[in-house]
Amino acid sequence: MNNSVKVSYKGSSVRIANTNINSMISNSSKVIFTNNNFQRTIDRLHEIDNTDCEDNEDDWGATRPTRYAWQHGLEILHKIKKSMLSGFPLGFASLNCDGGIELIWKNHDIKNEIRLTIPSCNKINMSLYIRNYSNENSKLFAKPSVDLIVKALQFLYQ
Amino acid sequence: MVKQIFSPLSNEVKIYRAILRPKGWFDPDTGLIDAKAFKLRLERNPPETKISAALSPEKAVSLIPSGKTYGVIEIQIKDIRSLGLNVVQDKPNHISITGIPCDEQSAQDYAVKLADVARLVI
Repeated sequence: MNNSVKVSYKGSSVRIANTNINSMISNSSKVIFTNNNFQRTIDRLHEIDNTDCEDNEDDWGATRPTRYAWQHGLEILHKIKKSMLSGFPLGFASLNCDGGIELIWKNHDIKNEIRLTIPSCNKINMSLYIRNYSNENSKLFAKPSVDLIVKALQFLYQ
Repeated sequence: MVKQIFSPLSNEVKIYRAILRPKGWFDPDTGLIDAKAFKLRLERNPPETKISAALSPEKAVSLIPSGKTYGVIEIQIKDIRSLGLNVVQDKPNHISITGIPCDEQSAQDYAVKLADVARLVI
């Protein structure tokens, strides 16, 4: 493997990609609603698009979001920003194995989270997963409106 | 149903899973493992029904044909079983976490719970 490092754990040695985990972790863990968070969330969406990959797929699945997911991800983030009166909460993105995208927001204080799945193509619906840690409940909404997503985000951080 | 031909694994055993993406498998604000690391890939054909792991970090990395991994997650079998799931060895170098219902909401619920008891070791 190119650009990899050998690391040891309890006598075992394994070779992993040379990416410093600490460099992937933000300095700020406190959620504050700012418009700067919008740009940071967009930046994190860009980060899952691994343009270094020669192939569009590897052992796990897609290495890059589909064009459809990418466009709809950006579009929905802009719509959420427009509707959030109190500023934008900091989220991050994760790639699904089919090239879809997950946009994730977490309230670290109460461990609740929201996961918005942007599908890889127009044959699949967008979905919204809301998890309430305190009562171990979750809900999954198919085809959520922007209004519902905004309400869920406001609920997450209230 | 996974056929069990190996000895049952003790609750005290720790198992390991390789991280396959540089972003999105852990929370960039806390460094904690994200549910993505344990989410069944229901989008696949056929949908995934079990989560792969190994008995050591080395073996977890060796399960990945390309060898391209970004870290290793550790999780104790006792913590997995306490969620109502099972853990079996089904090949010499392969462990499966089984019993996760194959619907989107349940798969996500269990992924969140598994991530909650897992930790990054490398």
